[in-house]
Amino acid sequence: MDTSDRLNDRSILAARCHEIQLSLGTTEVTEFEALTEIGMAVRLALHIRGLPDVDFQVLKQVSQYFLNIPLLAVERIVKLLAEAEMVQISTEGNTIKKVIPTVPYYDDLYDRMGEYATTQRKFNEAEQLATYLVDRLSESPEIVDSLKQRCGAESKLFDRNLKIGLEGSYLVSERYRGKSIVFTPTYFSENGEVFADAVACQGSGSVRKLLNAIKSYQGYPLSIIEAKKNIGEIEITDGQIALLKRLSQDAAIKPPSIETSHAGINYFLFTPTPYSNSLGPKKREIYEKAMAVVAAIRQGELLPRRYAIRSPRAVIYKLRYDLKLGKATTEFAEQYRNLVHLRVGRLISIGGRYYHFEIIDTPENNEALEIAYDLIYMGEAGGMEIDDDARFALQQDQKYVESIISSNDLRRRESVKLSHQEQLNLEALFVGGNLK
Amino acid sequence: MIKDRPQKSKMLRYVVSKGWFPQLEVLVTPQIPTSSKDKHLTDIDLLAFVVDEIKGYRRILIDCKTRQSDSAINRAIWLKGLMLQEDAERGICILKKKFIERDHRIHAANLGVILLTEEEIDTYSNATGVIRDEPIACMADIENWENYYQSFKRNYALAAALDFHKTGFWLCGDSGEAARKVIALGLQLSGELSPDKKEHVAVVGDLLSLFIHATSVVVSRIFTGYLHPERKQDLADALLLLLYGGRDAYEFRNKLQKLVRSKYESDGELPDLTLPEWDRFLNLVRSGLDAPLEFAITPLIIREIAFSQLASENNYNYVERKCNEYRHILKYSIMGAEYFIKATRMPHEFLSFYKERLMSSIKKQKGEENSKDATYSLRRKESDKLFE
Repeated sequence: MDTSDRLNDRSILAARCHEIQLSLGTTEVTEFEALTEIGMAVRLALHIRGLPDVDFQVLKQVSQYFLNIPLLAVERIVKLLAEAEMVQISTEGNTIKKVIPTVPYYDDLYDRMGEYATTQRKFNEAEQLATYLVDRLSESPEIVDSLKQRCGAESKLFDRNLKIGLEGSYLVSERYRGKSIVFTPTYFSENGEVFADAVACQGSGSVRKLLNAIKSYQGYPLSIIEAKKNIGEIEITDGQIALLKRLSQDAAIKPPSIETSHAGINYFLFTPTPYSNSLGPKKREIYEKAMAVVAAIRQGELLPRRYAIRSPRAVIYKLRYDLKLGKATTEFAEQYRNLVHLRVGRLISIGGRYYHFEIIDTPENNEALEIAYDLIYMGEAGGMEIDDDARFALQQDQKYVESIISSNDLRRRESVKLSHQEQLNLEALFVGGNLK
Repeated sequence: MIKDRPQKSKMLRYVVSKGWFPQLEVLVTPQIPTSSKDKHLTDIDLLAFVVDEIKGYRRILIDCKTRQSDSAINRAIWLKGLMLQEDAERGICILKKKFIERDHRIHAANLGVILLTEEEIDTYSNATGVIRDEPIACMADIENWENYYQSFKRNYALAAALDFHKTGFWLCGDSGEAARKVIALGLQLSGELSPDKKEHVAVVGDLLSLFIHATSVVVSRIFTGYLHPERKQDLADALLLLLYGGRDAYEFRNKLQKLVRSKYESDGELPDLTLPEWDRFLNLVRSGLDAPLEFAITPLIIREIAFSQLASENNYNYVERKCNEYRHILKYSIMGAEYFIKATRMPHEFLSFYKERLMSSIKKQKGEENSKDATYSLRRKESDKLFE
């Protein structure tokens, strides 16, 4: 599907508004109104989904502190959610007292918000272009000049929009091989330089095709791709294989690997972690555990010695609900060793080389298994954009929230994020001093 | 077009034939500049570097003058002043005159300057054992230097590389600083360089040759001071002080970088300032200590490969000849390229190109050795072992 068609899918439109707003944070853009509103509404809805009634004062403070929604805008956003039938409001006179979330589950949230956006709000040219750019770039980085030609927008509007994106941090532009490459940090902050370089070298079409292939088969082993030159039914070129090898050799964040006595070391490939630019350390650890689970299962499915996994989904389902696998085998020790190191599970010897595998029952491990299931079933995991601290705070009373906000220890530090080029320049400055 | 071209062309061939590292048209700027704009005082027509066991390189300044009115002794005295500033031991001055006074010649010789008329260049070359007629190397052809300078006119983003090639590198107070600055420049330009463009391959090769040139002096200083340091830490400590100009300067820069980094790298202990890919650099320098004189010759073959990209016809005979003559330089070239291209985050295809180009010179020699004598064969086998 072409990007312009994709944006007709209402849920994608709402998702892109959310991604833009998430990166913008507290930055205000004069050209954006409906986009900001929808983005904030999605963000708030995601965080109150499934909660019991929330005190409005608590909601206001948490929204401002954790979700970057300005205090004055919270009431407007809550009323928007009420119009979109995602919350019920309890009032006393004109004052909102309680908010009762009725946010739909699954992608229905995005779908309903997208429907609201297209029927009740009108996106201006700048907003349409911004959502188009972010959607296009969610699949692969692009060469700026090609993107400009492809989107067909007026040059001035494109340049202004690109500038807003760069200043608002929802787009990043770097120079690779003499070309300006633009990408969205929501999807490509992890190993972004490797993908951007590949786009400068092979073009965005090749990278997009490759990532879509991996998305349809998350955790596919590199050795099989190298040998068969395909992922499922999709053919993979030598250039694309070179990119995959580079990810496993030179990238800052390497894919998980498993070493077995019968198949050697194998790397299991995933699309870049979404929202990795805004993931907290806890969430990142959970995602890493999920990838390790998928890798272990793909090892059993595609590179077994004797006991092949026929249904990866069934195995994850069993681990999630029974917290163990049915029978012991001689392959578990090597196959699940990484999961023992990551404290996802334990191996129990029953004699000889036979081992049972059991999950350590913690909320984090259960969440990792759910993400692993989503990765195998749908190719992507939801919920990465949710701030668990915010959800926790929403369930506390006002006193507690105020104590969090006023506590210096828990105050979030604004950290300076440097782009790839800024890091290179800084390194060059320390190493070389002032260059003549 | 380069000024005084015929004289420079002849002297460039002469320098390369002698196995000296050539650098055309170096701009000399004030040691303490006061103007906000870069203004150069004068230029050196040709700078040659002769490998030296103690210093790494000795410098020879070559001055080419086509005005007949130039006084021979005036030029010699002027060149002596420049030699003092540039720490050069010898100078050669080429004049467009039919005749040079004998007193001028003798006085100039006492100052370390050789005065030659245009016609005498050939006699001098022949007498000092230089073959003049056959093509020597791509970097000995002045046209390739003109092509190199021309290529920057088409790419403004790389202008810093030309400035550095002509001025910045030669302005550095010491070789440690020069080595650091080449890496820093490489880091800054890495996003602009594309391996698909021949001129860019030449720019990378030129920067690499300058990096090895500077590192070679560092190697030579470590060699004369420590011979072969026994522990890695000893080598690392010595190198950091040489690279950053002493303990005080290093500590200051190290503290400053930690202070800045602490603002954007919140977790864990901040690492000390070194060079990018530090372990690889240590390995390169340690390896260079095995044969420091050959390390000093290495920049020649890198620059030759770089300039062969600018020539109308690629010719790697010079590279093959040098690799045949010196057993270590192939290894040093590959290690230097690996370090420099990884440290500056340049696209890996640059490394593949230089590596393949260098390795193919071995393969060619291997083919030749079947028809040559057994001694030569034994020597190549030893060299091959290095790459297994």
